[in-house]
Amino acid sequence: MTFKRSVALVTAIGSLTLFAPPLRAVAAPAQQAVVTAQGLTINGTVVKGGSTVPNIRLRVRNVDTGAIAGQITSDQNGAFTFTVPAAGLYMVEAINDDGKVIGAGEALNVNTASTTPFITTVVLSTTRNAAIFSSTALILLAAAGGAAITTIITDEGGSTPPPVSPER
Amino acid sequence: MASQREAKGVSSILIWMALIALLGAFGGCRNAPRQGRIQPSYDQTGKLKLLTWDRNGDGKPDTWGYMDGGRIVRIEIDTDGNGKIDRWEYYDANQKLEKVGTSRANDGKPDTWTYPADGEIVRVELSPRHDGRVTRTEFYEAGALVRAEEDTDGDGRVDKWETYAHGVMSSVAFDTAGTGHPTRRLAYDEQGQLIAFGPPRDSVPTTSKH
Repeated sequence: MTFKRSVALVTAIGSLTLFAPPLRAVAAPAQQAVVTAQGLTINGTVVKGGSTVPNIRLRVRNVDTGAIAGQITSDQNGAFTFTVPAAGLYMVEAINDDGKVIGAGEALNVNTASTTPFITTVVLSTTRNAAIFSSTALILLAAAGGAAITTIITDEGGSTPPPVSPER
Repeated sequence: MASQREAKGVSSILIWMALIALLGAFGGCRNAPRQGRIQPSYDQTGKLKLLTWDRNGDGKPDTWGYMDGGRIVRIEIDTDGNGKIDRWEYYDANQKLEKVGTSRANDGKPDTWTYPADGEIVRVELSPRHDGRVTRTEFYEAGALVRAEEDTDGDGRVDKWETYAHGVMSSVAFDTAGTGHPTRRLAYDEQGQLIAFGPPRDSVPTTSKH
C-alpha cells in the first residue's frame, strides 16, 4: 500500500465517521427497541394437574382481531416466552397434535407502558377418573370395629353412648 | 328408598366387619403389610372425635377419621407415607361422600376438590395458588369436562369462561372490563379453527379461518 492510498483510506474512514449519524442516534432506537420488547413480551407456563407440561404447541392470538400473532412450543420446563408485534389484547392457546385447542390462558392487555413481561398460565384440562371416589369410610369403620368400638357405628340417632375401648 | 340405602349401607359395614374379623381370626393375608391398631380419641363427654390409624403398619399414623360420635365427618390420609396428608374425604350428614380433596402440590394442603354424583365426577374446584381459595371450577357431564370458570386475577370474580366438546375447547370468553360478564368471546370448530370472535352477543364470524 502506497502512502497516497493510505491517506485516501484514512480520509475515507474519517469522512464516513464525520458524516455518519451520531452513535447515540443509532443506539437510541436499539435501546428503545429493547424496552419495547420487554413491554410486549409474554412469559408463561403450561400446567396440567399441578405439573408443568413440556413440548406443548402454543398459539398467541389477538383477541380483538382473532389473528394469530405467532406460534411457539413450551420448553422442557413447560415455560415459554413470546414477543408480540404490537400492543393489544392477547391470549395463548394450547393445541394438540391435531391442531385442536385444548387449553387457553387469560386475556392479557399487552402494552408498552409495562416494563416487565406479562405473565400467563395455560391450564390444560386433566383427565379425571371417578375411581377417586373410592371411600375409605367402610374400611376405617370395619377396622375400628376390630378395635372394639363397634357400638358406635350403627348409632344413627346422634346421641352416641360413650364407647367402650381398650384404649380408654 | 333412602332408608333402604341406609339399611344396605349398614349391612355392607357389618359384612365388612365380619370379613375383617374372619381374616384376623384365621390369620389370612399373612404376607400383607400388618395394619396397626386404631386409636380412638374422645371428647370430655365421651363422644368419639377421632380415629387414628396406622393403616400400612409402618409404626406411624397415616389415616385420621374425624368423627362426630358415630358419624364420619372427614377422613384424612397420607397415601404415600411421606408424612404429609394428600387425600381428604368429606362426608355429608347422611354419610355419603360429599367431595374428595387432593394436593397437587403435595404440600399437605388440599388444592383440588372433586365432587361426585352417582359415582361420576360432576365438579372439580381448584386452588392453583395453593392458598385454599378456589379460583377455577370445572364442570363435568358423564365424566367429561364440558365447561370451566376461572378467576384469573384473583379478585373474587370469574373473568374467564371455557366450554368444551369431545375433549377440546369449543369457546373461551373473557371479562376484560371487570364487569363480571364476558366482554370478549372466541369460538372454535372441532378442528380447532377460530369460527367467531368479538363481544359475546354479536361475535364476528370469521371470513377466513385463523
